[in-house]
Amino acid sequence: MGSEPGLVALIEAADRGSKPAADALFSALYRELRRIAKKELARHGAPVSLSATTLLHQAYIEMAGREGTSFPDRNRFMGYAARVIRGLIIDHARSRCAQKRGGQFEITSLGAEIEHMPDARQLTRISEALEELAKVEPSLAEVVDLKFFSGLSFAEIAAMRDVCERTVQRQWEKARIYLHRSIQADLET
Amino acid sequence: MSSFRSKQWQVISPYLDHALSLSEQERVRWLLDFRSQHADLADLIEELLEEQRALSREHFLEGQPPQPSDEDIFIGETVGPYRLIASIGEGGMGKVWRAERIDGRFERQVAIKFLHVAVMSRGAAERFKREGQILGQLRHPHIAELIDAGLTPKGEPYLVLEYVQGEQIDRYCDDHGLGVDARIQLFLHVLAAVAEAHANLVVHRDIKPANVLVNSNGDVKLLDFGIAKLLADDTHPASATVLTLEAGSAMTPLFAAPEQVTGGPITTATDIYALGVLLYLLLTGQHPIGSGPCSPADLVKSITGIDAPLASQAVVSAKSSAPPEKRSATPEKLRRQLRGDLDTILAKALKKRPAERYASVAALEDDLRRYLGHEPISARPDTVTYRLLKYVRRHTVGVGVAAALALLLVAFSIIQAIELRRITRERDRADRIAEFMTGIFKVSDPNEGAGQAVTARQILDKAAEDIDSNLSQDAELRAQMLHVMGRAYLNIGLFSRAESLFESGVQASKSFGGENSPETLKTKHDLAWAVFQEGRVDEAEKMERRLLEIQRRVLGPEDPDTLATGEELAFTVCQKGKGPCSEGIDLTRHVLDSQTRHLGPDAFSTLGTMDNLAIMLAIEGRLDQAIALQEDSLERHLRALGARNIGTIGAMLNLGEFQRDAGRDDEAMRTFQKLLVTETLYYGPEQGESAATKYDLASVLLRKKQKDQAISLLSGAINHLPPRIALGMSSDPLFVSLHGDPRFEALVVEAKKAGSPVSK
Repeated sequence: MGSEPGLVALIEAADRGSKPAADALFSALYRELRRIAKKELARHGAPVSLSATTLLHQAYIEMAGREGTSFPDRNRFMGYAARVIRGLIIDHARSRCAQKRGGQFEITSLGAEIEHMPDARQLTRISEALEELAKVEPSLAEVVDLKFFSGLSFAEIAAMRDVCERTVQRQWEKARIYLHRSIQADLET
Repeated sequence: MSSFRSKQWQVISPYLDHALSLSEQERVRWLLDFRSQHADLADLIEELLEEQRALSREHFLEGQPPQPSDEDIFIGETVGPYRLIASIGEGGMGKVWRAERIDGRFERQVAIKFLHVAVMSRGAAERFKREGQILGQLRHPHIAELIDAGLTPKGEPYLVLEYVQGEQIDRYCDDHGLGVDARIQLFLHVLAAVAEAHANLVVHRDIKPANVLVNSNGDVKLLDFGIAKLLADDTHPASATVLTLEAGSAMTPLFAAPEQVTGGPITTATDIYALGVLLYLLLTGQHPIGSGPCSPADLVKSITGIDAPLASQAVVSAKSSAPPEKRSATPEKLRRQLRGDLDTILAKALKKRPAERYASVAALEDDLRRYLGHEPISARPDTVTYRLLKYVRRHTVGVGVAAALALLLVAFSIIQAIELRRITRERDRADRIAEFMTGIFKVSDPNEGAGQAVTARQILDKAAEDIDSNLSQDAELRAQMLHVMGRAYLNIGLFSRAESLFESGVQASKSFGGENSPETLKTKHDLAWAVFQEGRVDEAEKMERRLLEIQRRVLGPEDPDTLATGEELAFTVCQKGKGPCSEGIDLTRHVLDSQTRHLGPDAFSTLGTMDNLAIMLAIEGRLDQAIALQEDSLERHLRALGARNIGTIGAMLNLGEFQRDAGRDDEAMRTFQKLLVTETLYYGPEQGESAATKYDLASVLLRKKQKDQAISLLSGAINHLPPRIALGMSSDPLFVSLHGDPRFEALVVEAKKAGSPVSK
């Protein structure tokens, strides 16, 4: 893929805080994840759905394979990609709301409980609050992307970041407090 | 309620971090403190912590998050004779749908589990169906029935299961505030189900709260019986399933038994372990390996190496996350309820070695019923000695363990000797040793030490550090312990550390018992040995000569300690000369004569001395005498100790080497062949020892011009050779005739790889 030789460079620039690079990275990953999702689903077909987790892992394997040894470590990639997955999920939820049935693929996150299922509007709110949080404490926002949107377990996130599971859990608790407050405040105004 | 301004968040964020890392009780105390220092923030922090608890209760942002799936596309799709009704979730193994029969033959609904496995090979698919049928015959009121197992036209495996609506057992117990006895009652239903499966030769392999549901009537249902095995195919050994298969998303093997993470055989004992974990979790609210192992690698280490804290201690530890009120108890009451029998029962179910666990589910059930009926249980609590020994076993780190174990054994022989005397003052001393030893091994507690990777070395270092402060009031004991620890260092090859401990030990012992007390002399003996090991042979020789002279005078010439020094001096003399050592031979002969008289010709230590003498004769070049003596010794070994004995193996090895060195190639070959068989019996196949013997045998074959056999023997051994031999192979004169042979050169390369510490 000659059109995306710059993924490594983009990630590095985004790491250094370049906003245009982060935007470009986001859209590049977005295209990439959509493509992989479609391909995976075509391979399996209904009724197997594609979990966000599988998508995330698959994307890493494919892209790292293509980009070669200079590809950044898994931890950084996953952080960016999980943010993109959030975008995919929300877009998809929105298109469903609009009754468009546009997306031919489905992405689900892991977890056996289904009692708590936010709709597109709630998801959008969560996402906005996450963007705020990302400015104050980016690692907390990333935990939410990885866990809630991408379905990774605490153990996996901990292993990826090389920290204790309890540390991740604590970050998760903090992030929840932050998000809940933001969303509540939003509703009240 | 207002959202955070970023400045405000930055201020409170570190406090939240800290507060969230505390237990509930600690938090209350901390908040009091905090309030006194930061009155302005305390309200907010308290409010946020309250909110965090509420969010946790509500499972905010947990469970199936966004719902972006076009699942209605699949509603109405059919799978075999079933029609999909609704997606009911997705777990580690795959997506689950609620479904019903198309033909309306049965009214009840079923759950269909589509498994996340790559499309199966033909053989695996057949097996999947066949095993599915076996599992389908498992019927029990507490087991969710497996109705069918099949493959979609695309080849994806699915299972049709009884549809169970219920709550995970741990949550059920918490939500209903069940006390300890009620929890055990409920758990007995789980046991009944597992016992039934075991009676049908089905092992569950994956018992965990998510697989144990309780429905609204309070009935227990076990899910996914035997499915872990069903999913194992020939390329994935069954034991790997829990680790690998559950996971495109690498499941944490929190409930896996040690043999499951190490790839050992899976038996009913595997389920008993998992049942132990489940019961532990139900009773204490936490996992036996603690709440936060750091990484999957650490987790595996914990599962295989670290014993769970006693349940009764877990509930009062600072990290306890089990709200006792959910168990209708206070922490103290809970501790008292768990202490004793329940601690013992759990410890037995959670033994690392399958053979030490309850032999059957029925036995576990029996003990739990006895507990409920206030009768004595069958499991025995670990004794003090036993528990301390386990501290060492946790850290099986090669040779170091032998050292630490030796240290403990000696310490306990002291304790036992003292206990036998039954004198109050002395018994206090026994307690002091026990306490000291426990303190040393505390470094192995991950919360106290740097982590799990505690080596015997670290344990010893801590002990050496502590000894002065902890045993200062008891000089005799201090001297003994210095000696004991010096020996431990000796065993792990840290000779200079050993030397300095022995030196302190000699000083301590002199000041207590005098210049020539037995303890002083014993420590001096070991001191000389350490000096010898450090390569200061001359110095060692002088020390040994002086000591020998004193011992002969004080203890008598035939005292075992005197003889031991004589034997060692003999070695030192031989080592010093690097050649003929008639003095060494004379000394050893004297020891041998004396041992033969006092202990008998076939005693283990007599035979050991005989072998030493043979070696010295061989060093002096008197190979025929060496062989004759060694043959005598081997015969005695075989008669007195049998073939499967470490001493016999040593004797055989000596003999083979002498025969080879004497050029008696045929005899050497036969001896090495016998040795190989014996070693395989003793150590098991493919161990370093038998590889070394193959190496020896190859060298003999080479001399008999059987080059091809020699090379094929070598290549079979190459990966198991001890590094010392592997690395020296290219320069070993025995193989000089193979130099230039490409097969041999390739083996040399491989040997270097196998022998280098990196690959070990």
